[in-house]
Amino acid sequence: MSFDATQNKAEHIVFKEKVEHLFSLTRLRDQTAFETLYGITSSKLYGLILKMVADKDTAADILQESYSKIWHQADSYFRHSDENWAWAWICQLTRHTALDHIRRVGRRAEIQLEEINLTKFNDETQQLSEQRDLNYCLAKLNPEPRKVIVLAYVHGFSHSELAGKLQTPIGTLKSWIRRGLKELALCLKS
Amino acid sequence: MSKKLTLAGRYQNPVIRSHLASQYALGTLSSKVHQRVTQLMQIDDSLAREIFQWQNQLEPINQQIDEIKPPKKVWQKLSHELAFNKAGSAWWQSLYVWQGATAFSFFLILGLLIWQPLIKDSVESSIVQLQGPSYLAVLSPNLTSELDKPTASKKPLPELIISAYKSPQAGQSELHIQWNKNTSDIEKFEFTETQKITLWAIDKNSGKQVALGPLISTNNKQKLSVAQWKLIKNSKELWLTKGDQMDDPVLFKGECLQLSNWQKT
Repeated sequence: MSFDATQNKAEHIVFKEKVEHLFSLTRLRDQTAFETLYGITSSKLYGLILKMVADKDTAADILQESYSKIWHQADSYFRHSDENWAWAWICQLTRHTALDHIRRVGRRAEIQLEEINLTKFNDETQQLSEQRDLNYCLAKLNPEPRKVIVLAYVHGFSHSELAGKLQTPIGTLKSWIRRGLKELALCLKS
Repeated sequence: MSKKLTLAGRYQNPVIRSHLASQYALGTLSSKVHQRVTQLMQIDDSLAREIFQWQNQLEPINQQIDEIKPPKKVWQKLSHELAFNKAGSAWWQSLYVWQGATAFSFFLILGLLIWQPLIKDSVESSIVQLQGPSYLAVLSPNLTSELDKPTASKKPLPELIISAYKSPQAGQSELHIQWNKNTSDIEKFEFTETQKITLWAIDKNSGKQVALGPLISTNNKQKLSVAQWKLIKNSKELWLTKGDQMDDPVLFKGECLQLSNWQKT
């Protein structure tokens, strides 16, 4: 693994630990901790929402709704003493809030398919990654399943949206996703 | 067989559970199935854990997405919605017309307080000098212990919050122990004296398990000696055992977090 990749990974671990601490206090209704949590996470979450909803005002409303849910539903986070999963939980809650919005009102603006995320999961990553992390395992997948999994995750595309954009029969697409996730699970476990 | 039973049985199938967990985290379930899985997570701990695991595994994809600063109005609207500091600002605004008289009264009262010699009661001052918690540990039930895992019919144990408050006076620092206040029916989880619950600190350097003493009661405060404070300061985790021996079953455990640094920022 390159020095930059190692450093980024270490920084991300520290970030996740900090989120976990602040989130623990948020669960105790600590407003200052919640404000600090907002300060260090809102830019990441706003960027994430804008990949799914192009309109900035709508994305801002979804961001507000997401943090409101984080505050009110913090207790539903399932804490495991040895895992720092709060950040993943926050991302998931935000993505689902955006997905709910899309299902309710549809997509107002056309979201472009991007390749940026896919370039990260290439052969080089596979060769250099010493750890069986997500990058390593995504790189091991066939290109089609890898592409649909990343696009579904980043843009929140439904099966039918992906089928239309990639001009692929919906059955084939579902099969790519199912097979891809199964292979990912096996790779991440081994 | 009823339709409900068929569905419940279907969700016990490991292949289907794995499929649901992964696609829930990916976001590709239909809204109807998504809602059903969300409900199922509330009562099915192992499914919830599997979903959390998938969320955590897929989350690194987010690192490829550029950060974009949200408009300032989002926090303003959010803090208004959640009524943060609402009481303080409304209080002052309501006094706007009477600011002169209010300010005069305020300084008058302040003056009286400063010159009131009896106010310096030694007991009270030691309480006042306790600042915000310096250390916090959220202790989760240890599901590998003798405690049964929660099921649909049995309510899971809540978390126990332990916070350590530093006092400048030796022996006056305090340990506050309480159930997570968002838990309803907390009285059902009260420990009894006969259970002999012991609190332990796990040293962050050596990993050694050192007793901090018996836990008298939850929802209570206990004074900490200098030695006990040092043990908490040097701990990475706090454990609660049923019994006072090292190898007694661990009922609760949680990371001990130092709060002082980020509170200053």
